[in-house]
Amino acid sequence: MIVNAYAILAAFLCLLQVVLGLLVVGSALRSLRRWNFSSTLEQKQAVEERTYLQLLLALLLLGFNLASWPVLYLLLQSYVPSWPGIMCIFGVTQIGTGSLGSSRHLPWLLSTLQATKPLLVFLGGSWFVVYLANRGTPNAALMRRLLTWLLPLGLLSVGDACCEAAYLGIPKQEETLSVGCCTAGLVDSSRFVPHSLLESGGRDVLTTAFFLCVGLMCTVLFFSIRRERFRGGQLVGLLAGAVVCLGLGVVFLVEVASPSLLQRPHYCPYDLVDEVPESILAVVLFLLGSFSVGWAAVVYGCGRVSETRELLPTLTGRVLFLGLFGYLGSLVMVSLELAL
Amino acid sequence: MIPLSWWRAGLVGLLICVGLPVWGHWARQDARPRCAWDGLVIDSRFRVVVDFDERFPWEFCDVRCARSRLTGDTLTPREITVTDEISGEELDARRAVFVRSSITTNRITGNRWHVFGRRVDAERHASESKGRLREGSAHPFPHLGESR
Repeated sequence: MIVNAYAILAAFLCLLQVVLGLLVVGSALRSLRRWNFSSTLEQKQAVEERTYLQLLLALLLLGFNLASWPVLYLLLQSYVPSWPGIMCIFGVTQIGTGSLGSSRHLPWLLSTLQATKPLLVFLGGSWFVVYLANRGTPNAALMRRLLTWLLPLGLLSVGDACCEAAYLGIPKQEETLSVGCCTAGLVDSSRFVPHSLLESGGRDVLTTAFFLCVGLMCTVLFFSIRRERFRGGQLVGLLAGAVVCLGLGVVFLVEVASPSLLQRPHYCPYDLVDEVPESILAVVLFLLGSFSVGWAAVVYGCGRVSETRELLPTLTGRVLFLGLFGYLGSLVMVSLELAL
Repeated sequence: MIPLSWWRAGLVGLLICVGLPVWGHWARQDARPRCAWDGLVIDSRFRVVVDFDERFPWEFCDVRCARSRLTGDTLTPREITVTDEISGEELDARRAVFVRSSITTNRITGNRWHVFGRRVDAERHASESKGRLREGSAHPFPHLGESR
């Protein structure tokens, strides 16, 4: 276990995530049961009045989930000087590979965390937009969905916090066989060097495709927001576009943006955290763009009841506006970073 | 409907997005040459320059970095210029004498390649530091001679 300021902060956040996650799941189950047994409007209003603190706890949990994402990368960055031969976060992610001790669990724990953090932010954001839609209704028409949504959110938060706590607690000293031909693979230092995803090239095509896709998304989003009328098919189309953009964006970041911004042939987006920190904002804006389109689709799909008919187009439009801002901001930043 | 204040705030946000990369680029500007492999500041005593016909030359902090970079590239260099450790003079890699010894020139890269203009200096370094002269197939840039 490596103890430093970031490790202590991450451990504290884990503790809060577990406590709040369990509280949120427990209270959501209790409220759901009461809600299901309420037959009259008065009974439902009585349940609704009791959920304010619970929803505030859920909002707090969302905040901690969001904060734990950058803290994870700050923690990994702080671990870099702990091993000779490691120059960036990529090397830290490789610690434990091929080890025979408990550190063999570190790589998959870290991969899980890198997947659950964005998933938690997306789930939390989806819950939040449904919460906003529910607040606009006179009779809390979306309360049941809102409480149901809290169950996976709380459970995933607890799971994520447990994974992170395990990652923090596991000793990070690799145990390998000291002799024998089979150890040749274990001591290979090339595992600390990130590799290209597209060995065969095609980076010009990738760059063109990325800018075309994101540009197209911006145009479609702009006209959708201006028209102020949304249909299910239109949002599904936008969601499909956002998924394609997200996939392209990840490959573009590794293959084109990282080597260009670092000015050397390293296909490592982790290096950007340390060397081109402002480019992280471009990544965050791009994620905001992709997630916002998803949130708009969720609120349109899950929040459509008779009481939200008038409210929903405005809310969907505003969430899509965030998406437009995210995509445009990242496009501007990436273009400038590459051009300078 | 999106309020006008949101569009204004978005515009201000976009202006910040324009300003940040410019500011970042300006803040990072550094006249010191950096290695094309690992980004380290180049120590002129161990500098290696690789020239190509069809692209700008690459500068590296030492022989190890140059070898690492060239291994992953399909282009054949036209000329490689290395630096004599004794005199600091630049010389063609085909005329230089290379020694791989126990002495590390750079703790970060772990480079143990040493470059000399005169064979006598190379042999003295090899005998003093448990090194070996690298010639023929053991030359750090064996394909350089074939390209000419």
